[in-house]
Amino acid sequence: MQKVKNLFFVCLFAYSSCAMNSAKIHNQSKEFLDIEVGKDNFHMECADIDKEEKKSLMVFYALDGDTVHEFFFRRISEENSCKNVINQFNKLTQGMQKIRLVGISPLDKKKNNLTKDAVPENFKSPSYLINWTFIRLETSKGCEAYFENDCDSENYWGGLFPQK
Amino acid sequence: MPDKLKHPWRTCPVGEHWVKEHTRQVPVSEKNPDGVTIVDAHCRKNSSHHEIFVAEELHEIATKYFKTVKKLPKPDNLGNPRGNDFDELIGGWTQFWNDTFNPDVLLDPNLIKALVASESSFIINSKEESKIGQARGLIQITEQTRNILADQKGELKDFLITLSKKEFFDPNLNLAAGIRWLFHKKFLASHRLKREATWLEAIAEYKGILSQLGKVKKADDIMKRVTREYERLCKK
Repeated sequence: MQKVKNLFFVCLFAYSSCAMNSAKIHNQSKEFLDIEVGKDNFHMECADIDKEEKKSLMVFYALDGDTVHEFFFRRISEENSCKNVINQFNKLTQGMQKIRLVGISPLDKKKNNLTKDAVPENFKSPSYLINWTFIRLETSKGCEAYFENDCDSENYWGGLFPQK
Repeated sequence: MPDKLKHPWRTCPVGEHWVKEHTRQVPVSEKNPDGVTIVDAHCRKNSSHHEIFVAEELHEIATKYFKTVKKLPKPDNLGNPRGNDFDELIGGWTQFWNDTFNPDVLLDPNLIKALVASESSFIINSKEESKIGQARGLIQITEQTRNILADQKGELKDFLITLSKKEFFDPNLNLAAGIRWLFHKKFLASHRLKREATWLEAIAEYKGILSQLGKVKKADDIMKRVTREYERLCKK
Protein backbone atom coordinates (compact mmCIF):
# COMPACT_ATOMS: atom_id res chain seq x y z
CA MET A 1 0.00 0.00 0.00
CA GLN A 2 2.84 2.36 0.92
CA LYS A 3 4.46 1.67 -2.48
CA VAL A 4 1.27 2.61 -4.29
CA LYS A 5 1.02 5.77 -2.20
CA ASN A 6 4.62 6.72 -3.02
CA LEU A 7 4.03 6.04 -6.70
CA PHE A 8 0.94 8.27 -6.59
CA PHE A 9 2.92 11.17 -5.10
CA VAL A 10 5.75 10.70 -7.60
CA CYS A 11 3.23 10.80 -10.44
CA LEU A 12 1.48 13.83 -8.95
CA PHE A 13 4.80 15.67 -8.59
CA ALA A 14 5.84 14.78 -12.12
CA TYR A 15 2.48 15.88 -13.48
CA SER A 16 2.47 19.19 -11.63
CA SER A 17 6.08 19.97 -12.60
CA CYS A 18 5.28 19.25 -16.18
CA ALA A 19 2.09 21.30 -16.01
CA MET A 20 4.07 24.23 -14.52
CA ASN A 21 6.50 24.28 -17.47
CA SER A 22 4.12 23.67 -20.32
CA ALA A 23 2.24 26.36 -22.11
CA LYS A 24 -1.31 26.20 -23.26
CA ILE A 25 -1.77 26.99 -26.93
CA HIS A 26 -5.22 28.46 -27.45
CA ASN A 27 -4.83 28.96 -31.17
CA GLN A 28 -2.04 28.65 -33.66
CA SER A 29 -1.51 28.91 -37.38
CA LYS A 30 1.61 29.49 -39.41
CA GLU A 31 1.18 33.23 -38.93
CA PHE A 32 -0.55 33.43 -35.57
CA LEU A 33 0.00 32.35 -31.97
CA ASP A 34 -2.28 32.66 -28.94
CA ILE A 35 -0.39 31.18 -25.98
CA GLU A 36 -0.93 31.08 -22.20
CA VAL A 37 1.92 30.54 -19.75
CA GLY A 38 2.41 30.48 -16.00
CA LYS A 39 3.89 33.59 -14.35
CA ASP A 40 7.34 31.96 -14.00
CA ASN A 41 7.43 31.35 -17.72
CA PHE A 42 6.62 34.95 -18.55
CA HIS A 43 8.87 37.97 -18.65
CA MET A 44 8.63 41.48 -20.06
CA GLU A 45 11.12 44.30 -20.39
CA CYS A 46 11.97 47.58 -22.02
CA ALA A 47 14.94 46.29 -24.00
CA ASP A 48 17.72 48.77 -24.73
CA ILE A 49 17.91 49.55 -28.42
CA ASP A 50 19.94 52.74 -28.34
CA LYS A 51 21.43 53.66 -24.95
CA GLU A 52 22.85 56.95 -26.20
CA GLU A 53 19.54 58.13 -27.62
CA LYS A 54 17.61 56.48 -24.74
CA LYS A 55 15.45 54.36 -27.02
CA SER A 56 13.82 51.11 -25.93
CA LEU A 57 11.65 48.37 -27.32
CA MET A 58 8.83 46.77 -25.37
CA VAL A 59 9.36 43.00 -25.45
CA PHE A 60 7.43 40.10 -23.90
CA TYR A 61 8.74 36.55 -23.50
CA ALA A 62 6.80 33.31 -23.05
CA LEU A 63 8.52 30.01 -22.36
CA ASP A 64 7.15 26.88 -24.01
CA GLY A 65 9.32 23.80 -23.45
CA ASP A 66 12.52 24.19 -25.45
CA THR A 67 11.30 27.33 -27.22
CA VAL A 68 11.12 30.95 -26.12
CA HIS A 69 8.45 33.01 -27.85
CA GLU A 70 9.51 36.63 -28.05
CA PHE A 71 6.89 39.32 -28.83
CA PHE A 72 8.05 42.72 -30.10
CA PHE A 73 6.19 46.00 -30.19
CA ARG A 74 6.11 47.37 -33.73
CA ARG A 75 8.00 50.53 -32.82
CA ILE A 76 10.83 51.53 -30.56
CA SER A 77 10.07 54.37 -28.15
CA GLU A 78 11.65 56.79 -25.70
CA GLU A 79 12.81 54.99 -22.54
CA ASN A 80 10.33 56.92 -20.40
CA SER A 81 7.47 56.16 -22.68
CA CYS A 82 8.36 52.47 -22.61
CA LYS A 83 8.45 52.59 -18.81
CA ASN A 84 4.92 54.02 -18.78
CA VAL A 85 3.78 51.23 -21.04
CA ILE A 86 5.41 48.51 -18.94
CA ASN A 87 3.68 49.97 -15.87
CA GLN A 88 0.33 49.46 -17.54
CA PHE A 89 1.19 45.86 -18.30
CA ASN A 90 2.48 45.39 -14.75
CA LYS A 91 -0.94 46.32 -13.46
CA LEU A 92 -2.42 43.55 -15.57
CA THR A 93 0.09 40.86 -14.70
CA GLN A 94 0.79 41.54 -11.00
CA GLY A 95 -0.40 38.66 -8.83
CA MET A 96 -1.63 36.71 -11.84
CA GLN A 97 -0.77 33.02 -12.19
CA LYS A 98 -1.43 32.88 -15.95
CA ILE A 99 -0.58 35.31 -18.72
CA ARG A 100 -1.87 35.00 -22.26
CA LEU A 101 -0.12 36.53 -25.27
CA VAL A 102 -1.08 36.86 -28.92
CA GLY A 103 1.41 37.44 -31.71
CA ILE A 104 1.51 37.35 -35.50
CA SER A 105 3.99 37.27 -38.36
CA PRO A 106 6.76 35.12 -36.86
CA LEU A 107 10.35 35.18 -37.98
CA ASP A 108 11.99 31.81 -38.61
CA LYS A 109 12.65 29.67 -35.55
CA LYS A 110 16.28 30.16 -34.60
CA LYS A 111 18.82 29.25 -31.95
CA ASN A 112 18.01 30.96 -28.67
CA ASN A 113 20.18 34.08 -28.56
CA LEU A 114 19.10 35.34 -25.14
CA THR A 115 21.99 33.67 -23.32
CA LYS A 116 23.76 36.96 -22.61
CA ASP A 117 20.65 39.09 -22.21
CA ALA A 118 19.26 40.47 -18.97
CA VAL A 119 16.39 37.97 -18.86
CA PRO A 120 15.64 35.46 -16.08
CA GLU A 121 17.86 32.34 -16.16
CA ASN A 122 15.08 29.99 -17.27
CA PHE A 123 14.78 31.96 -20.55
CA LYS A 124 18.45 31.37 -21.38
CA SER A 125 18.48 27.57 -21.41
CA PRO A 126 15.86 26.67 -24.06
CA SER A 127 17.32 25.79 -27.44
CA TYR A 128 15.11 27.84 -29.74
CA LEU A 129 13.58 31.28 -30.10
CA ILE A 130 10.72 32.52 -32.27
CA ASN A 131 10.10 36.21 -32.73
CA TRP A 132 6.51 37.48 -33.13
CA THR A 133 4.85 40.86 -33.61
CA PHE A 134 2.95 41.63 -30.41
CA ILE A 135 -0.82 41.88 -30.67
CA ARG A 136 -2.13 41.71 -27.12
CA LEU A 137 -1.63 40.55 -23.53
CA GLU A 138 -4.48 39.21 -21.44
CA THR A 139 -4.95 38.08 -17.85
CA SER A 140 -8.07 37.50 -15.79
CA LYS A 141 -7.74 41.20 -14.80
CA GLY A 142 -8.15 42.42 -18.39
CA CYS A 143 -6.51 42.91 -21.75
CA GLU A 144 -4.17 45.43 -23.40
CA ALA A 145 -3.52 45.44 -27.13
CA TYR A 146 -1.12 47.40 -29.31
CA PHE A 147 -4.05 48.47 -31.48
CA GLU A 148 -7.36 49.34 -29.89
CA ASN A 149 -9.67 46.70 -31.33
CA ASP A 150 -7.31 43.76 -30.96
CA CYS A 151 -8.62 42.78 -27.53
CA ASP A 152 -11.82 41.60 -29.17
CA SER A 153 -11.15 37.88 -28.95
CA GLU A 154 -13.86 36.87 -31.38
CA ASN A 155 -12.53 39.51 -33.73
CA TYR A 156 -8.87 38.46 -33.88
CA TRP A 157 -8.50 39.75 -37.40
CA GLY A 158 -12.00 40.45 -38.55
CA GLY A 159 -12.78 36.80 -37.95
CA LEU A 160 -9.84 35.68 -40.06
CA PHE A 161 -6.53 34.30 -38.95
CA PRO A 162 -3.55 35.57 -40.85
CA GLN A 163 -2.59 32.90 -43.37
CA LYS A 164 0.32 32.79 -45.75
CA MET B 1 16.03 69.79 -54.18
CA PRO B 2 14.02 69.06 -57.35
CA ASP B 3 13.08 71.80 -59.80
CA LYS B 4 9.74 73.26 -59.00
CA LEU B 5 7.73 72.03 -61.93
CA LYS B 6 4.03 71.52 -61.50
CA HIS B 7 3.24 67.85 -61.19
CA PRO B 8 0.58 67.05 -63.81
CA TRP B 9 -1.69 65.61 -61.12
CA ARG B 10 -1.68 68.77 -59.01
CA THR B 11 -4.64 71.08 -59.09
CA CYS B 12 -2.87 74.34 -58.27
CA PRO B 13 0.13 76.00 -59.91
CA VAL B 14 3.52 75.99 -58.18
CA GLY B 15 3.47 78.34 -55.18
CA GLU B 16 -0.25 77.92 -54.53
CA HIS B 17 -2.33 75.53 -52.48
CA TRP B 18 -5.90 74.29 -52.65
CA VAL B 19 -8.55 75.86 -50.46
CA LYS B 20 -11.82 73.96 -50.23
CA GLU B 21 -15.24 75.54 -50.53
CA HIS B 22 -16.07 77.31 -47.28
CA THR B 23 -18.37 79.86 -45.74
CA ARG B 24 -17.43 83.43 -44.87
CA GLN B 25 -19.11 86.01 -42.65
CA VAL B 26 -20.13 89.13 -44.62
CA PRO B 27 -22.23 92.20 -43.80
CA VAL B 28 -25.94 91.44 -43.96
CA SER B 29 -27.36 92.57 -47.29
CA GLU B 30 -30.15 91.76 -49.69
CA LYS B 31 -27.86 89.28 -51.41
CA ASN B 32 -26.67 87.76 -48.12
CA PRO B 33 -29.53 88.11 -45.64
CA ASP B 34 -27.87 85.62 -43.25
CA GLY B 35 -24.56 87.44 -43.25
CA VAL B 36 -22.90 84.36 -44.68
CA THR B 37 -21.57 83.71 -48.16
CA ILE B 38 -20.11 80.60 -49.75
CA VAL B 39 -16.62 80.92 -51.15
CA ASP B 40 -15.93 78.46 -53.98
CA ALA B 41 -12.92 76.19 -53.82
CA HIS B 42 -9.87 77.89 -55.28
CA CYS B 43 -6.07 77.99 -55.37
CA ARG B 44 -4.46 80.43 -52.96
CA LYS B 45 -0.89 81.76 -53.09
CA ASN B 46 1.34 80.39 -50.35
CA SER B 47 2.66 83.06 -48.05
CA SER B 48 5.89 81.07 -47.73
CA HIS B 49 7.80 79.67 -50.68
CA HIS B 50 6.81 76.13 -49.79
CA GLU B 51 4.59 73.79 -51.71
CA ILE B 52 1.80 72.89 -49.32
CA PHE B 53 -0.62 69.99 -49.60
CA VAL B 54 -3.97 69.82 -47.84
CA ALA B 55 -6.43 66.95 -47.52
CA GLU B 56 -8.75 68.06 -50.32
CA GLU B 57 -5.99 68.18 -52.92
CA LEU B 58 -4.57 64.83 -51.81
CA HIS B 59 -8.02 63.26 -52.12
CA GLU B 60 -8.54 64.82 -55.53
CA ILE B 61 -5.21 63.51 -56.82
CA ALA B 62 -6.00 59.98 -55.63
CA THR B 63 -9.52 59.96 -57.02
CA LYS B 64 -8.60 61.38 -60.43
CA TYR B 65 -5.31 59.69 -61.21
CA PHE B 66 -4.59 56.54 -59.22
CA LYS B 67 -6.65 54.28 -61.46
CA THR B 68 -4.04 54.87 -64.17
CA VAL B 69 -0.95 54.20 -62.03
CA LYS B 70 1.50 51.93 -63.84
CA LYS B 71 3.34 50.22 -61.03
CA LEU B 72 1.27 48.76 -58.24
CA PRO B 73 2.63 46.51 -55.50
CA LYS B 74 2.26 42.78 -55.98
CA PRO B 75 -1.27 41.59 -55.08
CA ASP B 76 -0.15 39.43 -52.18
CA ASN B 77 -1.81 40.15 -48.84
CA LEU B 78 1.24 38.95 -46.88
CA GLY B 79 -1.05 36.92 -44.67
CA ASN B 80 -3.16 39.90 -43.60
CA PRO B 81 -6.92 39.97 -44.20
CA ARG B 82 -6.81 43.53 -45.62
CA GLY B 83 -3.36 43.22 -47.15
CA ASN B 84 -4.39 44.05 -50.72
CA ASP B 85 -6.92 46.78 -49.96
CA PHE B 86 -4.53 49.71 -50.30
CA ASP B 87 -2.42 48.71 -53.32
CA GLU B 88 -3.76 51.51 -55.51
CA LEU B 89 -2.99 54.16 -52.89
CA ILE B 90 0.46 52.70 -52.27
CA GLY B 91 1.23 52.63 -56.00
CA GLY B 92 -0.23 56.08 -56.58
CA TRP B 93 1.60 57.92 -53.82
CA THR B 94 4.86 56.12 -54.53
CA GLN B 95 4.66 57.27 -58.14
CA PHE B 96 3.67 60.80 -57.14
CA TRP B 97 6.58 61.30 -54.76
CA ASN B 98 9.01 59.54 -57.11
CA ASP B 99 7.95 62.03 -59.83
CA THR B 100 8.26 64.93 -57.40
CA PHE B 101 11.66 64.13 -55.88
CA ASN B 102 13.09 62.19 -58.83
CA PRO B 103 15.54 60.07 -56.80
CA ASP B 104 18.43 58.20 -58.48
CA VAL B 105 16.89 54.90 -57.39
CA LEU B 106 13.11 54.99 -57.54
CA LEU B 107 11.16 53.92 -54.47
CA ASP B 108 9.48 50.55 -55.08
CA PRO B 109 5.80 50.33 -54.06
CA ASN B 110 6.49 46.77 -52.87
CA LEU B 111 8.79 48.20 -50.23
CA ILE B 112 6.01 50.50 -49.01
CA LYS B 113 3.67 47.52 -48.83
CA ALA B 114 6.25 45.62 -46.75
CA LEU B 115 6.66 48.69 -44.52
CA VAL B 116 2.89 49.00 -43.98
CA ALA B 117 2.70 45.28 -43.14
CA SER B 118 5.33 45.76 -40.45
CA GLU B 119 3.87 48.99 -39.09
CA SER B 120 0.15 48.17 -38.93
CA SER B 121 -0.61 44.85 -40.68
CA PHE B 122 -2.96 47.02 -42.79
CA ILE B 123 -5.15 47.75 -39.76
CA ILE B 124 -6.68 51.21 -39.67
CA ASN B 125 -6.77 51.95 -35.97
CA SER B 126 -9.45 54.54 -35.65
CA LYS B 127 -9.21 55.86 -32.10
CA GLU B 128 -7.47 59.19 -31.82
CA GLU B 129 -5.58 58.46 -28.64
CA SER B 130 -4.31 54.95 -28.05
CA LYS B 131 -2.87 54.20 -24.62
CA ILE B 132 -0.17 51.97 -26.02
CA GLY B 133 0.69 52.75 -29.63
CA GLN B 134 1.64 56.36 -30.15
CA ALA B 135 1.48 56.47 -33.91
CA ARG B 136 -1.45 56.67 -36.27
CA GLY B 137 -2.84 54.88 -39.26
CA LEU B 138 -1.60 52.42 -41.84
CA ILE B 139 1.98 53.67 -41.97
CA GLN B 140 2.05 54.72 -38.29
CA ILE B 141 2.85 58.41 -38.27
CA THR B 142 3.58 60.01 -34.93
CA GLU B 143 2.23 63.32 -33.70
CA GLN B 144 5.76 64.73 -33.80
CA THR B 145 6.03 63.80 -37.48
CA ARG B 146 2.61 65.31 -38.20
CA ASN B 147 3.86 68.61 -36.78
CA ILE B 148 7.14 68.51 -38.71
CA LEU B 149 5.33 67.76 -41.98
CA ALA B 150 3.30 70.96 -41.57
CA ASP B 151 5.97 73.22 -40.09
CA GLN B 152 6.95 75.99 -42.51
CA LYS B 153 9.97 76.87 -40.35
CA GLY B 154 10.94 73.30 -39.52
CA GLU B 155 13.25 70.65 -40.93
CA LEU B 156 11.40 70.05 -44.21
CA LYS B 157 12.60 72.41 -46.91
CA ASP B 158 9.57 71.96 -49.13
CA PHE B 159 6.50 69.88 -49.99
CA LEU B 160 4.76 70.28 -46.67
CA ILE B 161 1.57 68.47 -45.73
CA THR B 162 -0.96 70.05 -43.41
CA LEU B 163 -3.41 67.57 -41.94
CA SER B 164 -5.46 67.38 -38.76
CA LYS B 165 -5.06 64.57 -36.23
CA LYS B 166 -8.29 63.03 -37.47
CA GLU B 167 -7.27 63.29 -41.12
CA PHE B 168 -4.14 61.26 -40.40
CA PHE B 169 -6.28 58.15 -39.90
CA ASP B 170 -7.54 58.32 -43.46
CA PRO B 171 -5.60 55.65 -45.41
CA ASN B 172 -5.12 57.89 -48.45
CA LEU B 173 -3.82 60.86 -46.46
CA ASN B 174 -1.80 58.65 -44.13
CA LEU B 175 0.02 57.02 -47.04
CA ALA B 176 0.53 60.32 -48.88
CA ALA B 177 2.17 61.78 -45.77
CA GLY B 178 4.04 58.64 -44.73
CA ILE B 179 5.68 58.12 -48.12
CA ARG B 180 6.62 61.78 -48.31
CA TRP B 181 8.14 61.37 -44.82
CA LEU B 182 10.12 58.34 -46.00
CA PHE B 183 11.75 60.48 -48.69
CA HIS B 184 12.83 62.85 -45.94
CA LYS B 185 14.14 59.92 -43.89
CA LYS B 186 16.22 58.84 -46.89
CA PHE B 187 17.72 62.31 -46.98
CA LEU B 188 18.49 62.12 -43.23
CA ALA B 189 19.89 58.58 -43.50
CA SER B 190 22.20 59.67 -46.35
CA HIS B 191 23.41 62.53 -44.19
CA ARG B 192 24.01 60.17 -41.27
CA LEU B 193 25.82 57.58 -43.41
CA LYS B 194 27.73 60.22 -45.41
CA ARG B 195 26.71 58.45 -48.63
CA GLU B 196 23.47 57.86 -50.51
CA ALA B 197 21.31 55.65 -48.30
CA THR B 198 19.42 52.73 -49.78
CA TRP B 199 15.65 52.62 -49.41
CA LEU B 200 15.99 49.86 -46.80
CA GLU B 201 18.30 52.11 -44.81
CA ALA B 202 15.71 54.88 -45.17
CA ILE B 203 13.16 52.52 -43.65
CA ALA B 204 15.53 51.74 -40.78
CA GLU B 205 15.80 55.50 -40.20
CA TYR B 206 11.99 55.74 -40.37
CA LYS B 207 11.84 53.13 -37.62
CA GLY B 208 14.56 54.90 -35.62
CA ILE B 209 17.04 52.03 -35.69
CA LEU B 210 19.48 52.85 -38.50
CA SER B 211 22.44 53.53 -36.22
CA GLN B 212 21.88 50.26 -34.35
CA LEU B 213 21.79 47.90 -37.33
CA GLY B 214 24.47 45.23 -37.05
CA LYS B 215 25.04 46.17 -33.40
CA VAL B 216 21.77 45.39 -31.64
CA LYS B 217 20.16 42.09 -32.59
CA LYS B 218 16.65 43.30 -31.77
CA ALA B 219 17.10 46.17 -34.24
CA ASP B 220 18.19 43.63 -36.86
CA ASP B 221 15.12 41.52 -36.11
CA ILE B 222 12.85 44.54 -36.64
CA MET B 223 14.34 45.01 -40.11
CA LYS B 224 14.30 41.29 -40.92
CA ARG B 225 10.52 41.35 -40.94
CA VAL B 226 10.47 44.15 -43.53
CA THR B 227 13.13 42.57 -45.76
CA ARG B 228 11.43 39.19 -45.63
CA GLU B 229 8.09 40.62 -46.77
CA TYR B 230 9.78 42.78 -49.39
CA GLU B 231 11.65 39.81 -50.85
CA ARG B 232 8.43 37.85 -50.93
CA LEU B 233 6.70 40.65 -52.87
CA CYS B 234 9.61 40.92 -55.30
CA LYS B 235 9.56 37.21 -56.13
CA LYS B 236 7.86 36.49 -59.42
